[in-house]
Amino acid sequence: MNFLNILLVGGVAAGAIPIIVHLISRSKPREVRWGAMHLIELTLQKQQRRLRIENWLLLLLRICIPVFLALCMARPVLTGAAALWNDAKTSLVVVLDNSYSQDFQATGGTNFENAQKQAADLVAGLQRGSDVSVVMMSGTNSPLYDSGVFNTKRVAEDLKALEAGYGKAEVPSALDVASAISRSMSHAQREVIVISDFQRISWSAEEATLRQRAAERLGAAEIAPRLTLFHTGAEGRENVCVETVSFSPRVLGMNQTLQVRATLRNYGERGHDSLKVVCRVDGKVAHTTQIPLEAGQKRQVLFTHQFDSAGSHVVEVSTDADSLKADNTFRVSIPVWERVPVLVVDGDPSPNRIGERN
Amino acid sequence: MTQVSQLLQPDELQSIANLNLFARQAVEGAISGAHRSPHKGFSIEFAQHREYVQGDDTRRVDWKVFGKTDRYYIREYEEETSLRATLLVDCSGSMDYAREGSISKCQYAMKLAACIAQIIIRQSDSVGMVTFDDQIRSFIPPRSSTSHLRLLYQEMIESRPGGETDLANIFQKLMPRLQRRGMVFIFTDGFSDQRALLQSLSHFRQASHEVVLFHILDPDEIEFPFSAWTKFENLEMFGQFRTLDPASFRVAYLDNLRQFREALKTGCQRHRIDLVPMSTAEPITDALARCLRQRQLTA
Repeated sequence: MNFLNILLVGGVAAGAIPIIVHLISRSKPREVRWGAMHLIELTLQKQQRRLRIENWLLLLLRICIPVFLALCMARPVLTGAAALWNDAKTSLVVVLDNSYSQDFQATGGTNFENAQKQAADLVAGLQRGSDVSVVMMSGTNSPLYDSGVFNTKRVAEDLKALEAGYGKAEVPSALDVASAISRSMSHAQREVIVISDFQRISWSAEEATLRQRAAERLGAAEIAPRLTLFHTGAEGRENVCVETVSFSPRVLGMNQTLQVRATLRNYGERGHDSLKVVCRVDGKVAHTTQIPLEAGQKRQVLFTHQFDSAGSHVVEVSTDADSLKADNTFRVSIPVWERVPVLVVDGDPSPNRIGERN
Repeated sequence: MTQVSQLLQPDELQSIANLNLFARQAVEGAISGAHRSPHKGFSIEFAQHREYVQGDDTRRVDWKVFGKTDRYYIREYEEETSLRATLLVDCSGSMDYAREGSISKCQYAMKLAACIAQIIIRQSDSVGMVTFDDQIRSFIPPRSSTSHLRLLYQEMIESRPGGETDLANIFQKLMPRLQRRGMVFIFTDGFSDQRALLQSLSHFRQASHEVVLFHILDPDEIEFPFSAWTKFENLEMFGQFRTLDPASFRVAYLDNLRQFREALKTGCQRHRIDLVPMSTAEPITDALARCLRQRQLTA
């Protein structure tokens, strides 16, 4: 059993008040010199046993009232027993992994889509009156709602609108956010469910201590939520990513040749004999090439291109090597000048501009 | 008169000035008074006819009846005589109880007895007094003189409650000393063995005494208004006490008191004893007037 307001449990001490009052009043009884003693004796003979039992019961009742009130005000919760019945209302925090890896295309959709579906199923399975919150693992870890939401239909709708592909998952901080939300929720039965693909990049061994501490902080709450890790989707064992794209020259005019240098790395376990690399300019395929790329190997690809119009152009280098789309593409924006102003410097260095006299 | 003012206030004396006490049944007396006598004689009030037997005084033959019936009948008359009353005042320890700011049951009984003595002496009847606890403390035989009233008052003032109660034993001891039939006024709280008390009262009745029992209780004894934890010390037995919570005790106590009073009432009715329940909260003169008017109505 736990108490939502643990400080008020101290009010149980008020149960001692009737005993103290009893002892004080008994220690200094009022003295009466009495004539009708035989009536008292007669009554005692008849009632003594009953009166003793009644007095004990009365004392017990008097003790129980403040104790009961204090316990009620402390909001007791039967955390252990709540799980025994299925219709217990639950406060649920869904910690959803929306990192890059969740964008992996598995059977029946991406990992993230599967995670959304599972989260929606969990929310739909809650008892009426349960409250829910959702925390994203990448990005700012900000929860979807400031506090628990009782409208589970709305939560299901909001879950559908979420998207993956936001960098690395920040597990410890996401657990801390989930812990903070869980503390402010309503029900005694509390759960934090982490839905993730548990990719090594986000769940690295280096961060194991941080994760453990975050889990301990979660468990140290007055009403500790039950932490459940829920694996979703398939793990991408093949991953080729376009790491960087650099270009030269930095200042480019119309019809000048641009060199685009893309760096690709194979993180997967399988090598590629001829990996197709595509360079798109403003969304249109401009160049295509094929390169071999062994497992763990890093390689550069060079494209050249001339722009026939000024303005800002988007150059995109991509490969379709694996199902993890998020890192298969790299985009850069390149400004193209109609005229490139040239500053010619001739003669000795001087702080004055050309044509100006000293 | 100092003694009177110590017992009765002038307004109380004034209140009882118009009260008279009549014996409800025949009493024996040496002189002529306002009360019926059981002795039939040559007097004013006609009682009955009876047949002449040898030895009767021929002057008492009713010749008119003889003329009508041709038989000899003797006329009998009721002789009126003076009342002979005895006041039995319980001075046991339990009578010393008094609610705060009020007079004790014993003081109340003494004042009540003083009023009745006043009335009786004023009627030229005779009154005596007995004070007792578990023993007879004093016995003053009935007299009718005004100076006798002073003696009674002195005894009333000097009596102090104390000791235990044994009403049945006292009344048995008193029986032989009340030689002539008359009225017996008993002032007590009745806190004694009730069965023995009623049995001894029946002896008074068998001796043809008219008995009036003033059952005097304090309002505290009637209402049991205590609430805090209380130590009840026995007024009749030094060192005996009970410490209890009166609030939880009250209902049962009041039930016992009700049973006690009902049993006393039933017993008194069975033995044709006048029971007058009294509370010390009630003014004495009011209580006495109520009692005497009730007697007149039922006489």
